[in-house]
Amino acid sequence: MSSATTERLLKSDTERHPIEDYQRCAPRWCTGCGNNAILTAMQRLCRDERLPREKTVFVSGIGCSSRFPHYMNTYGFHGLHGRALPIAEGVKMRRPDLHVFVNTGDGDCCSIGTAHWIHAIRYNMDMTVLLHDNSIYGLTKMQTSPTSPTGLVSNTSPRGTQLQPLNPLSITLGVANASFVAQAVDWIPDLLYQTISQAFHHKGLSFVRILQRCPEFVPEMYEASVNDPSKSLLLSHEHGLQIGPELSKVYRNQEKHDPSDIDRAREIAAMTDRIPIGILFQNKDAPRHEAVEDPDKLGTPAMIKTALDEEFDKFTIWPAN
Amino acid sequence: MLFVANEPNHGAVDGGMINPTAFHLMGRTAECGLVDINGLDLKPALYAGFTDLNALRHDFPVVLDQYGTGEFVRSLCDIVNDVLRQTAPQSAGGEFMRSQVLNLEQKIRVIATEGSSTTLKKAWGKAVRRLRAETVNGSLEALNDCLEQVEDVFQTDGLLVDCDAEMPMAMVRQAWAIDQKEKTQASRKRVDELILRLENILGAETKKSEQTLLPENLKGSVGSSFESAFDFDTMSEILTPAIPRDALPDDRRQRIQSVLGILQSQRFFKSEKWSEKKSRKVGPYSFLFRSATSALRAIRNRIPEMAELTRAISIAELEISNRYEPEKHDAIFEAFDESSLLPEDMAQFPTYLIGLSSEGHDAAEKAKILELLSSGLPVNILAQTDDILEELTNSAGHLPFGGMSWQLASMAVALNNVFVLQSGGSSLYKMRENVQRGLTSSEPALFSVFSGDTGNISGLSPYLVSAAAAESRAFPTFVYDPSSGSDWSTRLSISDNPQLESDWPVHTFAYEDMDIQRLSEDITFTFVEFIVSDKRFAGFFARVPKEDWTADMIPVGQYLTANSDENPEAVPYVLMVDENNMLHKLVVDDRLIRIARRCRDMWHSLQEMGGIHNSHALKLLESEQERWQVEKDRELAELESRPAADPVPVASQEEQLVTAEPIVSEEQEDAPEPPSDDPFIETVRCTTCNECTDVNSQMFAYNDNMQAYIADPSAGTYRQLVEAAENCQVSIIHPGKPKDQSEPNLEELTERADVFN
Repeated sequence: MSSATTERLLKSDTERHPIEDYQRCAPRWCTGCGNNAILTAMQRLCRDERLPREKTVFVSGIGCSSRFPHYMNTYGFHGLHGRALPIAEGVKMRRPDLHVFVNTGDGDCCSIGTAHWIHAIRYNMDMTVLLHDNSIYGLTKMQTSPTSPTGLVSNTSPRGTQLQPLNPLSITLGVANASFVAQAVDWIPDLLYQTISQAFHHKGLSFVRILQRCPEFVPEMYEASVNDPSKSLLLSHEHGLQIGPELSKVYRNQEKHDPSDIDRAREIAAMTDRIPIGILFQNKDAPRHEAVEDPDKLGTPAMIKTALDEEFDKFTIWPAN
Repeated sequence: MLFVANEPNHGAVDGGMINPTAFHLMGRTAECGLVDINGLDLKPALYAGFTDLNALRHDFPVVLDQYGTGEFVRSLCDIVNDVLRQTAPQSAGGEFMRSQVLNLEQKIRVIATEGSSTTLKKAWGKAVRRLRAETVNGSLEALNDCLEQVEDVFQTDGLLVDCDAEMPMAMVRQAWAIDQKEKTQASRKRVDELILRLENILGAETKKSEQTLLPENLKGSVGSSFESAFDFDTMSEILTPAIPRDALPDDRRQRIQSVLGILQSQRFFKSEKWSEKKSRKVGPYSFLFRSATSALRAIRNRIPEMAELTRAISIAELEISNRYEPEKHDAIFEAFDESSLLPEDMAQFPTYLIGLSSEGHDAAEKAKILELLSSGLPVNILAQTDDILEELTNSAGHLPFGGMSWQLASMAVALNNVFVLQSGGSSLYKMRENVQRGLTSSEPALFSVFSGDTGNISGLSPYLVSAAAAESRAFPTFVYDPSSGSDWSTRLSISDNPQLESDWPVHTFAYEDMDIQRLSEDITFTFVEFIVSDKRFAGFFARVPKEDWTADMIPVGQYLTANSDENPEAVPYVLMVDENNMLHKLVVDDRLIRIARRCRDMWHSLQEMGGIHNSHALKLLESEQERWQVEKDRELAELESRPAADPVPVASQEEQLVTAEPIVSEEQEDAPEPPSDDPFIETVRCTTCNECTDVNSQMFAYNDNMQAYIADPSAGTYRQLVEAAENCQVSIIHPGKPKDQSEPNLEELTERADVFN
C-alpha cells in the first residue's frame, strides 16, 4: 500500500497503452477457438487497467490454454504440466507487487494439477486464475479430460466416457477459504470481460472457469447453449455482474444472486440444465497467505541467509584436520 | 416514596404580611414576610428518590479497559449483568447468588466514590472483604462458594472511574489512546519497512563494492566452518576485477541516504528502527495537550516536518519500486511543501487530543479553539465545563442567559465540518459510541462535556447535577456528525434528550397527604428546578409557610407555559423536600423566570435544527393544508352548482369485454424490429475468432476492443458476407439484402442469408 501522494503521482505517471501494445504476436489457435475471446478480454483488461507490462506476468502449464503467455506482450512463464499454480504462487511470494494471472486448462488444473489447485485455493494468494475449460485434451489431439461429459467419444474413450465429469465450480466452492468463484463463457464477451475484471479487482485468489469452445475436436460441445440463450442463467447483483439492456433482450434467464450466499452458490454450481454465468461466490474477508504470514519482524534476503547459515553451521560435519 | 404534605411552622416573619406576589415581582424576602432559604437543606422534590445513588444501579462507575482487548469502557452494571447471566441460574437457587453479587456491586460503587484511584480487581477484593466481614458465620460458606463461581468468569479489569470531574478526560483519553495505537501501528510498520528496504538497496551496492571482496570480508562471509579451506587472498585477487561496474548513481544514492535519514529520525511514530547511531536527545512527539494555544503552536511547528516526512515516504516508495524518475519527479518533490499535503496524508499521522479544563475557557483560548477546529487539522478537543451557571453569577444586576456553555459547541456546529458532541457527564457512557465515532472521524472533533462537579450544590453528586442539567435543557445532549450525510436531518441528532417533543420533561411525583392518602401530580423539571439547588441562587427563592399557600400559587412548569393574561395573579413556585421528607413550596423570583424562558427558547432552536417542530416544515404543511382545503371547497361548490346530469349508462359485461383494449403479449412488446436491408454485426457479442476477418479483412475490421464490425460493406461481395455469417461462431453477422443485383447466384445466396437476417 502506497501513500496517497505516491498513488496520485503514479496515476498521473502511468502510461496508457493501446490494446496493440499488449499483443505480442498473432495467436496460433484454431480459427474459432474460444481462447481468442479470452485473449481479447484479457488484453482489454490490461489496457483499461493500465497495467504496466513489466509488472504483469502470465503463468501457464501445458495445453492449448497454456499458449496464452506467448501471445501477451508482458512477462510470462510457460511451465510444466499441472504446475502453473505453484509457480504463480512462487512468483507472488517473491514479487508481491506483480499482477499475476494463471492460464490453465481442464487437464492441467483438474487432472495432473489437482493437488496444487486445492491448496492454491486455500492459500488464497492474490492472483487471477482462468480455467480454460473445453472439456477435452485439445493440444494432444482429443483425449478425454476430467470435465468431459459422459458419452463423449474420444481417442482414449472410443466407446464413450463412462465416468461422471468433475465439476470445477463445486470443487472450488467446497475448499476451505475459497474467496472468489465465477463462471463465464467465451461466446458472451461482454460478460467475460466483466467477470475477469471483477476477478482482477478481488484481493485474493479469483477462480474463473471459462467454458471455451473447441471447434476442432468438440465443435458440438456448447453448440446448443450458444444457439439457445435460454440454456444460460445470468447471475446479476449490485455486487456482481451488471447485465445491460441489450444482453437482457437476448438472455432472459436471469437471477439476482448475492455472491456472499455460499449455499445458493453451491446449488447454482451443481446445476445441470442451465449454464450459470456470473459471480457465484465472493468473500472479501477471506485471509490471504501473504497477509497472514507477514512476519512481525521484517527480514531481507541477506538477513535470512545469515540466519540460515548460522543454523546450518550448527550441523556442519567438520572436515578432519 | 411517599411524603407527608404537612410541616411544622418554620417561623414566618412575625407581624409581617405574607406576600408571595411581591417577592415574585420584587425579590425582597423580608418585606414580603417570607423565609430566606439559606441554611435550609432543601432539594427539588423530584430528587427525593435519588438521595443515595450508591443504592441505585446506574451507569457509573465505569471500567476503562487499558489493554485494548475489548470495548474501551464498560459500565460496572453491564459487567455484573454479564457475570450474573453466566453464573446465576434463573431460579430460586440463583437468587442467593444474585443478591450477593448485587451487594458486591453496591460496595464497589461505594469504593469508587471514596476518591482514590483504583482498579476493578482491587475494588472487587476490597468489596469482598467488606462483605465477608458483614456476613454471619452460618452463611459464610455459601458466600464463599458463590464468590468462587463468580471469580472464575470475572475476567474484566481496568481503571475504575466514577462520574466526577476527572471522568470525562479519563474516558475520552482512553478511547483516543486505543484509536491512536491502532492508527499509528500501521504507519510505524510502513516506515520500518521502508527503512529496511532502503538500507537493503544501499547494502546491495556495498556488497558489490571492492570493500566486500577484501580477504577478511570474504573470510567472514564463508563462515567459521571452512575458514581454513580457502586461500582468501587469492580469492580476493580473482574476484575483484570481476565485480560488475554498475554502481548506484550518485544522485540516487544521495537521495536514498537523505530520505533514510528523515525516516530514521522522524518523531511522529515511535519506530523500532529508531536510530541507535546517534544519542537520542529527543523522544517521540506527544500529541496530548492541555491548552489550545500550546497545541496550535506545536501543530504549526510540526507541519513542515509532516510535509518533509510525507515527501520522504513517497520518494522511498518510488525508489523501492524502482519507479522514481528524476526528470519527472525531482521538480515535483522540490516544490513539495505543507500546501501539498493531502487530507489522506494527514490522516496517516496521529491525531491530537487537547483536554481543556473548566478554567481554560477565556476568550483568547476560545479563539484558538475555533482556529484549530476550522483548520481541518487532525485535532480532538475536549472542552470540559464544571459549572454552567458561572456566567450568571459573574454579571452584575441582570442575569444574562447567553448559553456560554453552549456557545463553543454552537460555534463549532456553525463551522459545518466539525464533529461536535455535547453531553453531561452522566450521559457520557451512553454516548460512548458517538465519542469513538468523533475520535475516528477524519474531521476535527469537539467534545463539550459538563461534569456536574460545580462545588456549589451540596448533597448532590456530579452525576445527578449533570443529569439535571440535561433534563432541564440547561445543557442538552446533541451530536453533530458531518460525515453522516449532507443535510441537517442526517447530521444533527438530539435523540438522547428525554421527552424530545416537550419544552421540559414531565415526571409523576407521588406523595402522602395528612390522611396518609397516596396522591400524585405531574411535575415539570424546568430550568428553575435545576438552578434551585445551587446555593449561589438562594436569594431568588423564598419559602412560603403552608398555611399561606394560595390557589394563585402554581407550579413553575405550568406558569411558564400559561398565558399571563389568563391569570395575572399567578405566582410560580417550585416544590421542594427537606431532610425529613417534608414538602415545601418556594416562590420564584421573576428574573429566574425570564432566564428559564430564554433557556426554553434556546432549546426550541435546537429542537428545530433537530427536526422537531420545524417552523419551515410546519409553515409548509399549513400552507399545503390551506391550499388543499381551498381546492376541496371549490370542487364541492362546483358539484353543488352543477345541474343533475343524465345517468351514465353502464356497459354490459359483454360490451366491457369487447371494448377492453387487447392485452399486449410480452412477445409482441418485445417483437424484434423488421430486419434491415443493410448488413450489420452485433459487435458487442463478437468473440474475436478471426473467421470474418480471414474472409475479407477490408470488409470486416476490429474496433479498439478487438471486436468485429463492418468497416466497408462494398469492399467485398455478397457471397463473402454470407460466408462470414455462416462461419461466425456466435452467429452475429447479418448479411442483409444484396446491393449489387448483378452478382451471380444471388438467389441461392439470399436463401442462405435468410437464416441470419
